[in-house]
Amino acid sequence: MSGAALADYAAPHEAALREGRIVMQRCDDCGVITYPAGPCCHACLSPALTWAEMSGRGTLWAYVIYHHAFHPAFADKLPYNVALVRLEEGPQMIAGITGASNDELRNGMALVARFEPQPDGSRLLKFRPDTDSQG
Amino acid sequence: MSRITNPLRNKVAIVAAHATMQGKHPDRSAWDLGVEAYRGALASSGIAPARIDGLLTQTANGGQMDPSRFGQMVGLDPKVTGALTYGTAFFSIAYAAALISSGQASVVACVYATNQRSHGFANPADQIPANERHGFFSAAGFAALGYQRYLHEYGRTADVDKLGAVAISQRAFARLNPIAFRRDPMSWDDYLQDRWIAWPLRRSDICLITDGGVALILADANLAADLVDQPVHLLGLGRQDALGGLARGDNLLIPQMRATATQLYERTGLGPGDVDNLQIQDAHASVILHTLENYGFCGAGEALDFIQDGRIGPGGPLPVNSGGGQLSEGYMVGWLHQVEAFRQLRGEAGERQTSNCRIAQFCATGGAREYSGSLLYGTGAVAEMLL
Ligand SMILES: [Zn+2]
Repeated sequence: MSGAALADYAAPHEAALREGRIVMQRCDDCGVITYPAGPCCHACLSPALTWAEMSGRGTLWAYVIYHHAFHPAFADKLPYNVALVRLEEGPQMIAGITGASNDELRNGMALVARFEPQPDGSRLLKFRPDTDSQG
Repeated sequence: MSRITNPLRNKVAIVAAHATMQGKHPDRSAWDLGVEAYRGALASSGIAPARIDGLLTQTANGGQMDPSRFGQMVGLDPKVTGALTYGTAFFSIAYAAALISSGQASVVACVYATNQRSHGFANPADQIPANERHGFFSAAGFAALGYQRYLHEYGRTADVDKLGAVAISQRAFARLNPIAFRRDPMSWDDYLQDRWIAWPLRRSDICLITDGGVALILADANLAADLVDQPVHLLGLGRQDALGGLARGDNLLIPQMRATATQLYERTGLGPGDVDNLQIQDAHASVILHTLENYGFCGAGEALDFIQDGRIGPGGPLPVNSGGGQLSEGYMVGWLHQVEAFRQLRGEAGERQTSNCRIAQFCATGGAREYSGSLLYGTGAVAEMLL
């Protein structure tokens, strides 16, 4: 690992997201998921971590509707939402919600990951309402 | 039976405080603003520069002055020179208090200055990598998530606009403060017509960016009365961090403030009911709600009602950010709040003076909700009473 930059620890997570999967570090010793990625389990400090694929299911914990573009790339998307999503495995991630209007967003609604193709061929993590769930 | 002691009891006092005009100073460097603040603190207190044996600056969150270069600039050879490369006013004061209470220095000048309004604003490093690809920008994003979650937890989403009482009260105070940047009137109509930046936060709910400088001089409490007529005593300090951030646990409503409050109130024997003037580092209006509730000024879920009807404004029973705060006075990452507490406790706050102001509290938290810290200040009479 070159210089052990934080970006190096996160690289497998980032690469998987671009391919359309959520992977995080699961501790071989205690089972806790560590996110953001690092050199050890945050709960027991074990270095024995295995990249594990998350289910992509979670719930909407909180959300924001941006009406101001802090970057020109978002100017034509206003107003757009950004949510804090609690994965069923525990960690919380930031991502936009698609497949529901901003007015339809509700705390606690069941969500599932949906990866949107990007112009460069990669994918971008979003979540959509999980209509198969009773949540 | 264990007895809770207060390690900072009768150790440290603020003996001088000065702030420059807030706003746009396009032709002035941060150094120049810092020197003006430092000169003002010396001049207003009559403290001789030779008494200064500690010098602290802040090189994070807009602070732009290297402490050694600043000391060279103003001709100081202190015992201790230092800077914090992180944090806000709370951290620098805690550092100064540690230097003084451990005997490393006895009279410490703390100086913050920035011209980031005129010369650009550097965002702090990403707290969670790559959130910007989702359009999650600015510390306002964290605060908006927190306020949205708050509205949901207490069933108050229909009352989202009631937060306006914070910006309106603070603007009313700023109109009484000659150094405040925004002194134009703000009515409820003005507030409600203001645009959303990151719903549920409007532009008026988000702090300004200003150029300016602040200097504080802290001293050994036993020297303070010899240095100035009315030192303001640091009665105690509390601090609790929560480093899980957005990724882990439920930190949006800054629950670690409750542990900070317990530390501070147990150490000093004081409580929220003793506070005459409350200073809250207000990166966003919604932090006022979380602070009022977590420190026990009102019950959980009650703050949106508590702040109405002028209760936290001029003449109200609990003045909050009586200088105008970061929403109206200026954005000096908590440093202006210390100046305001100092003036209030000395009865020098002019038209915005809190009547019979004996105890002031400062509460701080970080943009990413990772820390909380709080200070209690009191007049000499209060400090004596607590001995
Ligand atoms: Zn573990």
